Amino acid sequence: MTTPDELADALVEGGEVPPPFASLAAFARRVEALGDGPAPAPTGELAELLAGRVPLFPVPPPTSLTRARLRLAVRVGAGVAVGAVALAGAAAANVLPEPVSDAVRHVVEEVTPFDLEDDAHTPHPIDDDHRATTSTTSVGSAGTTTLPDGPEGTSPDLPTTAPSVPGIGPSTSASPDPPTSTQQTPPEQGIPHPTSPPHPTDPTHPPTPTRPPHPTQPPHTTRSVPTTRLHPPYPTKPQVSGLPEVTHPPYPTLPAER
Amino acid sequence: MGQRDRFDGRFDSILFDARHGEPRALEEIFEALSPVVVGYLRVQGCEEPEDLTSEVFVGVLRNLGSFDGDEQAFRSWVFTIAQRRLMDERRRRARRPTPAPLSEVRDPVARDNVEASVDRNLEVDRIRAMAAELPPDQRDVILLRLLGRLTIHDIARALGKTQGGVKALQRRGLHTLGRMLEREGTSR
Repeated sequence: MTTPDELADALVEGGEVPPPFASLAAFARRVEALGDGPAPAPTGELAELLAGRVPLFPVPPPTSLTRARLRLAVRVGAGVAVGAVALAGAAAANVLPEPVSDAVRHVVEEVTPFDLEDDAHTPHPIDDDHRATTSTTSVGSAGTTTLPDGPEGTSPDLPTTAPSVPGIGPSTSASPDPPTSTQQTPPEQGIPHPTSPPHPTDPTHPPTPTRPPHPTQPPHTTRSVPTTRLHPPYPTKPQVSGLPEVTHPPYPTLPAER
Repeated sequence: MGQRDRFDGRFDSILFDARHGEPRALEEIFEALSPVVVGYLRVQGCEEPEDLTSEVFVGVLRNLGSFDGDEQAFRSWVFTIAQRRLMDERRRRARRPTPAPLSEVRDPVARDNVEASVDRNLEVDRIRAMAAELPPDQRDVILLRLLGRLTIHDIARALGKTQGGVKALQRRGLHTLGRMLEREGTSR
């Protein structure tokens, strides 16, 4: 019991202290005893709290600042939604610059079930009627009901008129094959259709487009009823020009078991 | 002394219930610590120690959700709030033209028991008179240490001082009290 700190601890804890500090220890006990009295009567707000007449943790009402933030958030959200719809519509109508249109088309095809065809690479005809039909048929990829299918195993004999117009060819999303000498379509610049798997095609014929070329398509047929088939039947045997056609012998039939 | 464990070892459960607004738990907290707080405020010369104690516990109960700790930490937290309310009251009193002297502040709690009330008031007056001779910093430290039973660390945090500073104030305060008690003993 030498240091003042140890003396203070002993006084606080009620431990033994040297005789010279006995009066100080007694004083410490008297001070400590002041806290042993009865609880005072609660007054004012505390009495209401202890009686349960007012909630302990009241929920603050929404302030004017909170309401203003909500209004601002609603306005911003509505503006963004209107802008997105307008942008998608503009991309569908092909009135946007090509890079912007490609980006918007990609976003729309990723986040929505709609499929915006790549009309950015197809020059529009001069007449306004066709321009109108093009814009109306740009959404959707199933407008091929008027196309005659070729015989099974061969490509349909459709795009004979397509190469006559520069830039108009098979849909870039329909075939990822590189262009051949008979194809006059420009290099693929659009975004490949994610749902169109590559399939073997006849290299002597351009791949069948999913949509007819504009000049040969009458305006009234562009709003035909969509079908579920997006591509012509896949050829079962690719034909290569200049090579003799190899025919397989028919498979022997097994005799029926008795 | 009943100072050491005022919650009978049920502090955690009482605090849990009080946080959920259980009135009985709120009352237990008030009954456990309000006598110490009102005694501290009374010795400190507060004019209306009961009203100020109610203010302290309104702050305590309203902010129970922000407290996290054991009983000692809770006690330190309560006295920190009490010390701040006391400083506010002192500032208000400093702006008043006629402050009440410390010796005239009486304990109105035990009006039904006149004898006990008189004895308590006399004891409070004696202790308050001795404490009033201490410098304010030393008085705060000594009373928080002896009556509030706060640690040096808790007192330093409540008063915004360093632990070394609090220890120095405690040393000087005890030394001053010892001399006063010695003088008082020799004068009898």
